Amino acid sequence: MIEHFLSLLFIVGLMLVAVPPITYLERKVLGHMQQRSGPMVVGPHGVLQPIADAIKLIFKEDVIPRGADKLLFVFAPSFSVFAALLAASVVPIGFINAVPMKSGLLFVMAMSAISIYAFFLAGYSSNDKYSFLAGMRAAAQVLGYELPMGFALMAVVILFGSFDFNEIVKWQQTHGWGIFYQPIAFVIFLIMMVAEVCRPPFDLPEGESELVGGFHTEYSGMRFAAFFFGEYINIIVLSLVVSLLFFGGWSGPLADKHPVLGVLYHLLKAGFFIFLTFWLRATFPRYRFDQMLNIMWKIFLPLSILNIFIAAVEALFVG
Amino acid sequence: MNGLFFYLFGFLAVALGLAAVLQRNVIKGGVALLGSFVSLGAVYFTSGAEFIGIVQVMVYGGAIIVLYLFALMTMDLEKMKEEPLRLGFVSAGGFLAGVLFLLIVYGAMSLEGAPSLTVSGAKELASPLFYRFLLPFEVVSVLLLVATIGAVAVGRREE
Repeated sequence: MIEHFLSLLFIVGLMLVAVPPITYLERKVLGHMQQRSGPMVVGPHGVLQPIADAIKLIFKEDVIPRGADKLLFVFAPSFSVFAALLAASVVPIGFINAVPMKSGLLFVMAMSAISIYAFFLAGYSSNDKYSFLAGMRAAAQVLGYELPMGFALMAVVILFGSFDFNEIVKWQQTHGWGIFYQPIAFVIFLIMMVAEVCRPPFDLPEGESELVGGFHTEYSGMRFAAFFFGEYINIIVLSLVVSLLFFGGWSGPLADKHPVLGVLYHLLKAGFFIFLTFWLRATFPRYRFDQMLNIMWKIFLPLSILNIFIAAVEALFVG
Repeated sequence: MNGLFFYLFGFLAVALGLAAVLQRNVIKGGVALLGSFVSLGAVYFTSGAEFIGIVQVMVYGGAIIVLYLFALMTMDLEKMKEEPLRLGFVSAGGFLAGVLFLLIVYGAMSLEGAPSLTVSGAKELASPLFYRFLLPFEVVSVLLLVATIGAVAVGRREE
Protein backbone atom coordinates (compact mmCIF):
# COMPACT_ATOMS: atom_id res chain seq x y z
CA MET A 1 0.00 0.00 0.00
CA ILE A 2 2.71 2.48 1.03
CA GLU A 3 4.70 1.30 -1.97
CA HIS A 4 1.87 2.19 -4.34
CA PHE A 5 1.44 5.54 -2.67
CA LEU A 6 5.14 6.39 -3.00
CA SER A 7 5.11 5.28 -6.65
CA LEU A 8 2.11 7.48 -7.32
CA LEU A 9 3.85 10.41 -5.64
CA PHE A 10 6.96 9.77 -7.73
CA ILE A 11 5.07 9.56 -11.03
CA VAL A 12 2.93 12.63 -10.43
CA GLY A 13 5.97 14.53 -9.18
CA LEU A 14 8.01 13.45 -12.18
CA MET A 15 5.29 14.54 -14.61
CA LEU A 16 4.94 17.97 -13.04
CA VAL A 17 8.68 18.58 -12.59
CA ALA A 18 9.61 17.34 -16.07
CA VAL A 19 7.40 19.81 -17.94
CA PRO A 20 9.42 23.06 -17.52
CA PRO A 21 12.75 21.50 -18.62
CA ILE A 22 10.99 19.90 -21.57
CA THR A 23 9.62 23.24 -22.72
CA TYR A 24 13.17 24.64 -22.49
CA LEU A 25 14.63 21.71 -24.42
CA GLU A 26 11.93 22.05 -27.05
CA ARG A 27 12.76 25.67 -27.67
CA LYS A 28 16.48 24.90 -27.79
CA VAL A 29 16.03 21.96 -30.18
CA LEU A 30 13.70 23.94 -32.41
CA GLY A 31 16.15 26.84 -32.39
CA HIS A 32 19.12 24.78 -33.42
CA MET A 33 17.15 22.96 -36.10
CA GLN A 34 16.20 26.33 -37.56
CA GLN A 35 19.77 27.71 -37.29
CA ARG A 36 19.00 29.96 -34.33
CA SER A 37 20.21 29.74 -30.74
CA GLY A 38 16.85 29.56 -28.96
CA PRO A 39 16.56 31.16 -25.50
CA MET A 40 19.95 32.60 -24.50
CA VAL A 41 19.33 35.52 -22.14
CA VAL A 42 18.24 34.14 -18.73
CA GLY A 43 21.11 32.19 -17.18
CA PRO A 44 23.89 30.42 -19.08
CA HIS A 45 22.49 29.33 -22.46
CA GLY A 46 19.07 30.35 -21.18
CA VAL A 47 18.68 27.41 -18.77
CA LEU A 48 16.74 29.53 -16.30
CA GLN A 49 14.19 30.51 -18.96
CA PRO A 50 11.50 28.05 -17.71
CA ILE A 51 11.71 29.61 -14.23
CA ALA A 52 11.30 33.07 -15.70
CA ASP A 53 8.34 31.80 -17.73
CA ALA A 54 6.77 30.26 -14.63
CA ILE A 55 7.12 33.50 -12.65
CA LYS A 56 5.59 35.45 -15.52
CA LEU A 57 2.66 33.04 -15.85
CA ILE A 58 1.97 33.00 -12.11
CA PHE A 59 1.87 36.78 -11.78
CA LYS A 60 -0.06 37.45 -14.97
CA GLU A 61 -3.58 38.78 -14.59
CA ASP A 62 -6.19 36.08 -14.93
CA VAL A 63 -8.79 37.32 -17.38
CA ILE A 64 -12.25 35.85 -17.89
CA PRO A 65 -13.75 37.46 -20.99
CA ARG A 66 -17.18 39.07 -20.83
CA GLY A 67 -19.88 36.77 -22.17
CA ALA A 68 -17.83 33.66 -21.48
CA ASP A 69 -19.46 30.65 -19.89
CA LYS A 70 -17.70 31.10 -16.52
CA LEU A 71 -18.16 27.61 -15.11
CA LEU A 72 -16.89 25.78 -18.19
CA PHE A 73 -14.19 28.39 -18.81
CA VAL A 74 -12.67 27.75 -15.38
CA PHE A 75 -13.28 24.01 -15.55
CA ALA A 76 -11.67 23.30 -18.94
CA PRO A 77 -7.92 23.83 -18.22
CA SER A 78 -7.96 21.85 -14.99
CA PHE A 79 -9.71 19.04 -16.86
CA SER A 80 -6.75 18.89 -19.22
CA VAL A 81 -4.22 18.36 -16.40
CA PHE A 82 -6.55 16.04 -14.50
CA ALA A 83 -7.07 13.60 -17.37
CA ALA A 84 -3.37 13.59 -18.25
CA LEU A 85 -2.31 12.83 -14.66
CA LEU A 86 -4.92 10.07 -14.35
CA ALA A 87 -3.49 8.44 -17.48
CA ALA A 88 0.04 8.84 -16.09
CA SER A 89 -0.87 7.09 -12.84
CA VAL A 90 -1.45 3.68 -14.46
CA VAL A 91 1.66 3.61 -16.67
CA PRO A 92 4.50 1.71 -15.01
CA ILE A 93 8.02 3.12 -15.32
CA GLY A 94 10.38 0.22 -14.75
CA PHE A 95 9.48 -1.31 -11.38
CA ILE A 96 7.61 1.83 -10.33
CA ASN A 97 3.98 0.93 -10.82
CA ALA A 98 1.54 3.13 -8.95
CA VAL A 99 -1.76 1.53 -9.96
CA PRO A 100 -1.29 -2.00 -11.31
CA MET A 101 -4.29 -2.54 -13.54
CA LYS A 102 -5.35 -5.47 -15.68
CA SER A 103 -6.64 -3.14 -18.39
CA GLY A 104 -4.00 -0.44 -18.05
CA LEU A 105 -3.57 0.19 -21.77
CA LEU A 106 -7.30 0.62 -22.22
CA PHE A 107 -7.43 3.04 -19.29
CA VAL A 108 -4.79 5.25 -20.88
CA MET A 109 -6.83 5.21 -24.09
CA ALA A 110 -10.00 6.18 -22.22
CA MET A 111 -8.31 9.05 -20.40
CA SER A 112 -6.78 10.39 -23.58
CA ALA A 113 -10.18 10.12 -25.26
CA ILE A 114 -11.80 12.36 -22.65
CA SER A 115 -8.85 14.77 -22.44
CA ILE A 116 -10.01 16.32 -25.73
CA TYR A 117 -12.97 17.85 -23.86
CA ALA A 118 -10.55 20.36 -22.36
CA PHE A 119 -9.92 21.83 -25.83
CA PHE A 120 -13.51 21.49 -26.85
CA LEU A 121 -15.00 23.14 -23.78
CA ALA A 122 -12.35 25.86 -23.74
CA GLY A 123 -13.22 26.62 -27.35
CA TYR A 124 -16.93 26.74 -26.63
CA SER A 125 -16.87 28.65 -23.35
CA SER A 126 -14.51 31.44 -24.49
CA ASN A 127 -17.29 33.11 -26.51
CA ASP A 128 -14.83 33.86 -29.28
CA LYS A 129 -15.07 32.93 -32.94
CA TYR A 130 -11.48 31.69 -33.23
CA SER A 131 -11.76 29.57 -30.11
CA PHE A 132 -15.11 28.21 -31.25
CA LEU A 133 -13.67 27.10 -34.59
CA ALA A 134 -10.76 25.51 -32.74
CA GLY A 135 -13.20 23.61 -30.53
CA MET A 136 -14.99 22.26 -33.60
CA ARG A 137 -11.67 21.25 -35.11
CA ALA A 138 -10.67 19.47 -31.90
CA ALA A 139 -13.91 17.48 -31.95
CA ALA A 140 -13.47 16.51 -35.61
CA GLN A 141 -9.86 15.57 -34.96
CA VAL A 142 -10.73 13.29 -32.06
CA LEU A 143 -13.23 11.46 -34.27
CA GLY A 144 -10.49 11.12 -36.89
CA TYR A 145 -7.63 9.72 -34.84
CA GLU A 146 -9.50 7.72 -32.24
CA LEU A 147 -10.48 4.87 -34.57
CA PRO A 148 -7.12 4.18 -36.28
CA MET A 149 -5.38 4.49 -32.92
CA GLY A 150 -7.79 2.06 -31.30
CA PHE A 151 -7.46 -0.45 -34.13
CA ALA A 152 -3.66 -0.18 -34.12
CA LEU A 153 -3.67 -0.90 -30.39
CA MET A 154 -6.10 -3.78 -30.85
CA ALA A 155 -3.65 -5.42 -33.27
CA VAL A 156 -0.90 -5.11 -30.67
CA VAL A 157 -3.15 -6.45 -27.94
CA ILE A 158 -4.13 -9.46 -30.07
CA LEU A 159 -0.44 -10.25 -30.46
CA PHE A 160 0.49 -9.79 -26.79
CA GLY A 161 -2.72 -11.29 -25.48
CA SER A 162 -3.08 -8.76 -22.68
CA PHE A 163 -3.98 -5.17 -21.78
CA ASP A 164 -1.62 -5.30 -18.81
CA PHE A 165 1.59 -3.29 -19.30
CA ASN A 166 3.62 -5.71 -17.16
CA GLU A 167 2.41 -8.69 -19.20
CA ILE A 168 3.18 -6.84 -22.43
CA VAL A 169 6.78 -6.21 -21.40
CA LYS A 170 7.13 -9.80 -20.19
CA TRP A 171 5.96 -11.05 -23.59
CA GLN A 172 8.55 -8.91 -25.32
CA GLN A 173 11.33 -10.10 -23.02
CA THR A 174 10.78 -13.63 -24.28
CA HIS A 175 9.80 -12.95 -27.92
CA GLY A 176 11.64 -9.75 -28.86
CA TRP A 177 10.47 -6.17 -29.30
CA GLY A 178 6.99 -5.48 -30.57
CA ILE A 179 8.13 -3.28 -33.44
CA PHE A 180 9.61 -6.31 -35.25
CA TYR A 181 6.19 -7.93 -35.26
CA GLN A 182 3.98 -4.89 -35.73
CA PRO A 183 5.75 -2.15 -37.72
CA ILE A 184 2.50 -0.90 -39.26
CA ALA A 185 0.82 -0.58 -35.88
CA PHE A 186 3.87 1.33 -34.65
CA VAL A 187 3.77 3.85 -37.49
CA ILE A 188 0.02 4.36 -37.16
CA PHE A 189 0.21 4.69 -33.39
CA LEU A 190 3.05 7.19 -33.61
CA ILE A 191 1.18 9.42 -36.05
CA MET A 192 -2.09 9.17 -34.10
CA MET A 193 -0.19 10.01 -30.94
CA VAL A 194 1.00 13.27 -32.48
CA ALA A 195 -2.58 13.98 -33.57
CA GLU A 196 -3.83 13.16 -30.11
CA VAL A 197 -1.63 15.64 -28.28
CA CYS A 198 -2.35 18.23 -31.00
CA ARG A 199 1.28 18.80 -31.90
CA PRO A 200 2.46 19.91 -35.33
CA PRO A 201 1.74 18.76 -38.02
CA PHE A 202 -1.65 18.06 -36.41
CA ASP A 203 -1.95 21.21 -34.29
CA LEU A 204 -5.18 22.25 -35.98
CA PRO A 205 -7.00 23.27 -32.79
CA GLU A 206 -4.15 25.68 -31.99
CA GLY A 207 -3.33 26.86 -35.51
CA GLU A 208 -1.42 30.02 -34.56
CA SER A 209 -1.30 31.37 -38.10
CA GLU A 210 -5.02 31.10 -38.80
CA LEU A 211 -6.82 30.92 -35.43
CA VAL A 212 -4.60 33.26 -33.35
CA GLY A 213 -4.14 30.71 -30.54
CA GLY A 214 -7.10 28.46 -31.17
CA PHE A 215 -8.79 27.16 -28.04
CA HIS A 216 -6.48 29.07 -25.68
CA THR A 217 -6.80 32.47 -27.37
CA GLU A 218 -8.74 33.90 -24.41
CA TYR A 219 -6.74 32.24 -21.66
CA SER A 220 -3.96 33.87 -19.68
CA GLY A 221 -1.81 33.23 -16.64
CA MET A 222 -2.02 29.90 -14.84
CA ARG A 223 -5.08 28.70 -16.74
CA PHE A 224 -3.07 29.01 -19.94
CA ALA A 225 -0.19 27.20 -18.24
CA ALA A 226 -2.55 24.39 -17.22
CA PHE A 227 -3.25 23.63 -20.88
CA PHE A 228 0.47 23.38 -21.50
CA PHE A 229 0.97 21.10 -18.52
CA GLY A 230 -1.78 18.85 -19.80
CA GLU A 231 -0.33 18.77 -23.30
CA TYR A 232 3.23 18.00 -22.21
CA ILE A 233 2.18 15.41 -19.63
CA ASN A 234 0.19 13.73 -22.39
CA ILE A 235 3.29 13.69 -24.58
CA ILE A 236 5.35 12.11 -21.80
CA VAL A 237 2.68 9.50 -21.04
CA LEU A 238 2.20 8.51 -24.68
CA SER A 239 5.97 8.36 -25.23
CA LEU A 240 6.22 6.00 -22.27
CA VAL A 241 3.39 3.92 -23.73
CA VAL A 242 5.03 3.72 -27.19
CA SER A 243 8.30 2.53 -25.70
CA LEU A 244 6.37 0.01 -23.60
CA LEU A 245 4.41 -1.41 -26.50
CA PHE A 246 7.02 -1.50 -29.24
CA PHE A 247 10.46 -1.20 -27.67
CA GLY A 248 10.34 -3.52 -24.69
CA GLY A 249 9.77 -0.85 -22.05
CA TRP A 250 12.29 -1.33 -19.25
CA SER A 251 13.98 -4.40 -20.74
CA GLY A 252 17.62 -4.00 -21.73
CA PRO A 253 21.07 -5.27 -20.80
CA LEU A 254 21.48 -5.90 -17.05
CA ALA A 255 18.00 -4.51 -16.36
CA ASP A 256 16.78 -7.71 -14.66
CA LYS A 257 19.60 -7.50 -12.08
CA HIS A 258 19.42 -3.75 -11.46
CA PRO A 259 15.83 -2.53 -11.66
CA VAL A 260 17.00 1.09 -11.49
CA LEU A 261 18.69 0.60 -14.87
CA GLY A 262 15.32 -0.53 -16.22
CA VAL A 263 13.75 2.76 -15.14
CA LEU A 264 16.58 4.60 -16.89
CA TYR A 265 16.18 2.59 -20.10
CA HIS A 266 12.47 3.24 -20.12
CA LEU A 267 12.89 6.97 -19.59
CA LEU A 268 15.58 7.14 -22.30
CA LYS A 269 13.38 5.32 -24.81
CA ALA A 270 10.51 7.65 -23.96
CA GLY A 271 12.89 10.61 -24.22
CA PHE A 272 13.59 9.74 -27.82
CA PHE A 273 9.89 9.95 -28.69
CA ILE A 274 9.57 13.26 -26.87
CA PHE A 275 12.46 14.48 -28.99
CA LEU A 276 10.69 13.12 -32.06
CA THR A 277 7.70 15.39 -31.43
CA PHE A 278 10.07 18.41 -31.42
CA TRP A 279 11.66 17.12 -34.59
CA LEU A 280 8.30 16.76 -36.33
CA ARG A 281 7.36 20.26 -35.23
CA ALA A 282 10.50 21.69 -36.81
CA THR A 283 10.13 19.68 -40.02
CA PHE A 284 6.53 19.54 -41.19
CA PRO A 285 4.03 22.25 -42.04
CA ARG A 286 0.55 21.98 -40.58
CA TYR A 287 -2.02 19.83 -42.35
CA ARG A 288 -5.06 21.51 -43.77
CA PHE A 289 -8.30 20.46 -42.11
CA ASP A 290 -9.64 18.44 -45.06
CA GLN A 291 -6.23 16.85 -45.65
CA MET A 292 -6.12 15.74 -42.03
CA LEU A 293 -9.59 14.16 -42.22
CA ASN A 294 -8.74 12.54 -45.56
CA ILE A 295 -5.62 10.75 -44.39
CA MET A 296 -7.23 9.70 -41.13
CA TRP A 297 -10.40 8.23 -42.61
CA LYS A 298 -9.23 7.10 -46.03
CA ILE A 299 -5.70 5.84 -45.41
CA PHE A 300 -5.03 5.07 -41.77
CA LEU A 301 -8.42 3.60 -40.87
CA PRO A 302 -8.42 0.90 -43.63
CA LEU A 303 -4.71 0.27 -43.03
CA SER A 304 -5.22 -0.26 -39.33
CA ILE A 305 -8.13 -2.66 -39.94
CA LEU A 306 -5.99 -4.61 -42.40
CA ASN A 307 -3.26 -4.72 -39.80
CA ILE A 308 -5.55 -6.52 -37.37
CA PHE A 309 -5.62 -9.49 -39.76
CA ILE A 310 -1.82 -9.46 -39.93
CA ALA A 311 -1.70 -9.44 -36.14
CA ALA A 312 -4.15 -12.36 -35.96
CA VAL A 313 -1.96 -14.44 -38.30
CA GLU A 314 1.11 -13.57 -36.25
CA ALA A 315 -0.64 -14.45 -33.03
CA LEU A 316 -1.50 -17.86 -34.51
CA PHE A 317 2.14 -18.59 -35.32
CA VAL A 318 3.94 -16.92 -32.43
CA GLY A 319 1.29 -17.18 -29.72
CA MET B 1 -14.12 1.70 1.13
CA ASN B 2 -15.37 0.35 -2.20
CA GLY B 3 -18.92 0.55 -0.93
CA LEU B 4 -18.52 4.22 -0.07
CA PHE B 5 -17.22 5.04 -3.55
CA PHE B 6 -19.96 2.90 -5.11
CA TYR B 7 -22.68 5.03 -3.49
CA LEU B 8 -20.78 8.28 -4.07
CA PHE B 9 -20.43 7.69 -7.81
CA GLY B 10 -23.91 6.20 -8.04
CA PHE B 11 -25.31 9.39 -6.51
CA LEU B 12 -23.15 11.51 -8.84
CA ALA B 13 -24.34 9.57 -11.89
CA VAL B 14 -28.00 10.17 -10.98
CA ALA B 15 -27.49 13.82 -10.00
CA LEU B 16 -25.58 14.66 -13.17
CA GLY B 17 -28.10 12.73 -15.25
CA LEU B 18 -30.84 14.93 -13.75
CA ALA B 19 -28.75 18.01 -14.45
CA ALA B 20 -28.35 16.88 -18.07
CA VAL B 21 -32.14 16.78 -18.49
CA LEU B 22 -33.00 19.93 -16.55
CA GLN B 23 -30.23 22.16 -17.89
CA ARG B 24 -31.55 24.72 -20.40
CA ASN B 25 -28.15 25.23 -22.00
CA VAL B 26 -27.69 22.14 -24.17
CA ILE B 27 -23.88 22.23 -24.18
CA LYS B 28 -23.83 22.30 -20.38
CA GLY B 29 -26.39 19.51 -20.47
CA GLY B 30 -24.03 17.53 -22.68
CA VAL B 31 -21.18 18.08 -20.24
CA ALA B 32 -23.39 16.95 -17.36
CA LEU B 33 -24.26 13.83 -19.37
CA LEU B 34 -20.53 13.21 -19.86
CA GLY B 35 -20.05 13.47 -16.09
CA SER B 36 -22.92 11.05 -15.58
CA PHE B 37 -21.39 8.50 -17.98
CA VAL B 38 -17.96 8.78 -16.40
CA SER B 39 -19.46 8.33 -12.91
CA LEU B 40 -21.30 5.28 -14.21
CA GLY B 41 -17.92 3.95 -15.38
CA ALA B 42 -16.58 4.55 -11.88
CA VAL B 43 -19.55 2.61 -10.45
CA TYR B 44 -18.52 -0.37 -12.61
CA PHE B 45 -14.98 0.05 -11.29
CA THR B 46 -16.04 -0.05 -7.66
CA SER B 47 -18.08 -3.19 -8.24
CA GLY B 48 -15.07 -4.98 -9.73
CA ALA B 49 -15.92 -4.79 -13.44
CA GLU B 50 -12.80 -2.90 -14.49
CA PHE B 51 -12.98 -3.65 -18.21
CA ILE B 52 -16.62 -2.63 -18.63
CA GLY B 53 -15.98 0.53 -16.63
CA ILE B 54 -13.16 1.60 -18.93
CA VAL B 55 -15.12 0.76 -22.07
CA GLN B 56 -18.04 2.76 -20.70
CA VAL B 57 -15.82 5.83 -20.28
CA MET B 58 -14.15 5.34 -23.65
CA VAL B 59 -17.20 4.66 -25.82
CA TYR B 60 -19.80 6.90 -24.17
CA GLY B 61 -17.49 9.53 -22.72
CA GLY B 62 -14.94 9.57 -25.50
CA ALA B 63 -16.92 9.04 -28.67
CA ILE B 64 -20.66 9.51 -28.26
CA ILE B 65 -20.68 12.75 -26.26
CA VAL B 66 -18.11 14.24 -28.66
CA LEU B 67 -20.54 13.51 -31.50
CA TYR B 68 -23.46 15.00 -29.54
CA LEU B 69 -21.59 18.16 -28.70
CA PHE B 70 -20.20 18.45 -32.22
CA ALA B 71 -23.70 18.25 -33.66
CA LEU B 72 -25.13 20.63 -31.04
CA MET B 73 -22.47 23.24 -31.67
CA THR B 74 -23.33 23.42 -35.36
CA MET B 75 -26.93 24.38 -34.49
CA ASP B 76 -28.26 27.78 -33.58
CA LEU B 77 -28.48 27.48 -29.81
CA GLU B 78 -30.07 30.90 -29.24
CA LYS B 79 -33.04 29.88 -31.35
CA MET B 80 -33.45 26.64 -29.44
CA LYS B 81 -33.62 28.52 -26.14
CA GLU B 82 -36.73 30.40 -27.24
CA GLU B 83 -38.50 27.24 -28.31
CA PRO B 84 -41.55 26.84 -26.02
CA LEU B 85 -42.29 23.57 -24.25
CA ARG B 86 -44.96 21.66 -26.15
CA LEU B 87 -47.45 19.63 -24.15
CA GLY B 88 -47.44 16.78 -26.68
CA PHE B 89 -43.68 16.29 -26.53
CA VAL B 90 -43.55 16.53 -22.76
CA SER B 91 -46.37 14.06 -22.21
CA ALA B 92 -45.01 11.57 -24.79
CA GLY B 93 -41.55 11.76 -23.25
CA GLY B 94 -42.98 11.41 -19.77
CA PHE B 95 -45.03 8.38 -20.81
CA LEU B 96 -41.98 6.66 -22.39
CA ALA B 97 -39.82 7.47 -19.37
CA GLY B 98 -42.50 6.03 -17.08
CA VAL B 99 -42.69 2.79 -19.08
CA LEU B 100 -38.90 2.50 -19.05
CA PHE B 101 -38.80 3.12 -15.31
CA LEU B 102 -41.39 0.40 -14.68
CA LEU B 103 -39.43 -2.02 -16.88
CA ILE B 104 -36.25 -1.33 -14.89
CA VAL B 105 -38.05 -1.77 -11.58
CA TYR B 106 -39.56 -5.03 -12.87
CA GLY B 107 -36.09 -6.21 -13.92
CA ALA B 108 -34.60 -5.29 -10.56
CA MET B 109 -37.42 -7.12 -8.73
CA SER B 110 -36.84 -10.31 -10.70
CA LEU B 111 -33.11 -10.30 -9.88
CA GLU B 112 -32.24 -13.01 -7.41
CA GLY B 113 -29.88 -11.37 -4.95
CA ALA B 114 -27.01 -9.08 -5.84
CA PRO B 115 -24.90 -10.12 -8.84
CA SER B 116 -21.65 -11.72 -7.73
CA LEU B 117 -18.74 -9.33 -7.73
CA THR B 118 -16.10 -11.22 -9.66
CA VAL B 119 -13.32 -9.20 -11.21
CA SER B 120 -14.10 -9.14 -14.89
CA GLY B 121 -11.44 -8.53 -17.49
CA ALA B 122 -11.64 -8.70 -21.27
CA LYS B 123 -11.35 -12.50 -21.36
CA GLU B 124 -14.17 -13.17 -18.90
CA LEU B 125 -16.40 -10.89 -20.94
CA ALA B 126 -15.38 -12.12 -24.37
CA SER B 127 -15.71 -15.87 -23.97
CA PRO B 128 -19.44 -15.97 -23.13
CA LEU B 129 -20.03 -13.33 -25.80
CA PHE B 130 -18.37 -15.36 -28.54
CA TYR B 131 -19.43 -18.85 -27.45
CA ARG B 132 -22.59 -18.97 -25.37
CA PHE B 133 -24.32 -15.86 -26.71
CA LEU B 134 -22.88 -15.89 -30.23
CA LEU B 135 -26.20 -15.74 -32.07
CA PRO B 136 -27.72 -12.77 -30.16
CA PHE B 137 -24.36 -11.03 -30.46
CA GLU B 138 -24.28 -11.48 -34.23
CA VAL B 139 -27.92 -10.41 -34.56
CA VAL B 140 -27.15 -7.19 -32.71
CA SER B 141 -24.14 -6.51 -34.91
CA VAL B 142 -26.25 -7.00 -38.05
CA LEU B 143 -28.81 -4.60 -36.58
CA LEU B 144 -26.08 -1.99 -36.07
CA LEU B 145 -24.85 -2.53 -39.63
CA VAL B 146 -28.38 -2.03 -40.96
CA ALA B 147 -28.68 1.17 -38.94
CA THR B 148 -25.35 2.46 -40.28
CA ILE B 149 -26.21 1.75 -43.90
CA GLY B 150 -29.65 3.26 -43.38
CA ALA B 151 -28.14 6.41 -41.91
CA VAL B 152 -25.76 6.75 -44.85
CA ALA B 153 -28.61 6.20 -47.33
CA VAL B 154 -30.84 8.79 -45.64
CA GLY B 155 -28.06 11.29 -45.06
CA ARG B 156 -26.68 11.21 -48.57
CA ARG B 157 -27.64 14.06 -50.84
CA GLU B 158 -29.41 13.30 -54.09
CA GLU B 159 -26.91 13.48 -56.91
